[in-house]
Amino acid sequence: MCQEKCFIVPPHILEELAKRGNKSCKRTLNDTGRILERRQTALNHLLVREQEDGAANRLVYDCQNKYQQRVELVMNEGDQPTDDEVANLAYDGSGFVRDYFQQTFGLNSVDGNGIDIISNIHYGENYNNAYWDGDEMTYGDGDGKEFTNFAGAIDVVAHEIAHGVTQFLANLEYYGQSGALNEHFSDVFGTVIKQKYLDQDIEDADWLIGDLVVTEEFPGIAIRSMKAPGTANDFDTQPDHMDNYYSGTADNQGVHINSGIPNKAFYLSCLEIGIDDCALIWFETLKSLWRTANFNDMVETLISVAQNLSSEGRVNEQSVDAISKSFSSVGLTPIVV
Amino acid sequence: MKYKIEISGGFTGIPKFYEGERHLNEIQKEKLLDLLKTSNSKNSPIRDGQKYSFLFTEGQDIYTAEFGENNLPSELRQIMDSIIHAD
Repeated sequence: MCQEKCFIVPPHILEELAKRGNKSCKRTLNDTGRILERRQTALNHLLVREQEDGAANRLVYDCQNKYQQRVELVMNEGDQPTDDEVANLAYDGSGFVRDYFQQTFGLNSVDGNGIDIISNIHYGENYNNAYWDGDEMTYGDGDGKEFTNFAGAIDVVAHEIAHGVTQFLANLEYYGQSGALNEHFSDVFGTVIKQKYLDQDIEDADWLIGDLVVTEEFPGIAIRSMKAPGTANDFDTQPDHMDNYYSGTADNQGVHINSGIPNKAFYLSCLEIGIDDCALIWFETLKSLWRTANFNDMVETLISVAQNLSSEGRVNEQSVDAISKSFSSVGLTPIVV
Repeated sequence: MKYKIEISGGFTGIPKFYEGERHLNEIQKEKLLDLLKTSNSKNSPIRDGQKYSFLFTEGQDIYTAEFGENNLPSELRQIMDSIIHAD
């Protein structure tokens, strides 16, 4: 049995035990990675942050176009809208995402313990990015030529907050296949929450990620497409099948590239059993994954989770077949027992 | 001094390349090379952070460095921004 003494067990044995369903080992693996990462962050930043209060409050900071977080607090939980529409959008978007995870899965904020949800807006000059730094989100305004305000797009906000959720649930490493899964889960909850926010059903939805942050001058319609990976813009090299798997070293071994493969399978699964059942199956799967999980580990776990939820009557009874078929069509055939 | 800058990764995952030449006096050049020495590749919890790759050449001398979102020196970011915004 692996209990308190788990930390002296070598990581490869922990991984194997985690794969076999040992939750204690999975927790040890994930906690160890998280502790190391946080220690590294503290050393890098030489910054001590205050203890969060557990009320899942939204805080929006204006970076005033400096490359510095938390320059000026402009919105706190319960505040009235400000004159800055970007601040209002960041506040409203993060609230919608927080409420979705709470009401749908009972998850209290990003960490399950009511951590505050902190957004930094107007970061840098013409900064074409949004990121999760392990504690909070940071959004650029875009250069105005190809990209525009990243904080105003609900799928971007949901994508970044989902990185936080992944950090606390599975702590998937950010390279190779585990990194592509990390990106995949962010796109999954990005697109699910976008459809809820826009009150769309799956036929109406465009399944695009980042369509609101690109300008008309940008050579494409979005950053990524879950329906048709590789077609969102002129630079989009996402594969939609393992036959075209990217095995190079760029982008942390293709974390934003190979995520197209499970993304396509998620889209196909939604067509079969609906987006709500898929969202539940994917969320429960994320809770069961571990730091170094790869594509095959995820498919195995998805099938196992779908079997359990289906037997409990919580999702469509065709879920296992639908997920199995969808992943087979992208070159990841699961073994269903 | 000739430069090549690549910004990769990030939410968009779309790499951007900048190439050109900029005159630096000796003090500026010394400062720049000192900044490049601070590069490290330690792990970071940042997700969707960008990676910044620099290559400067002067004559036979080649200087390269890579930084992440969390460790890019502010002075180097200012130099990079001035190059990007001048393009």
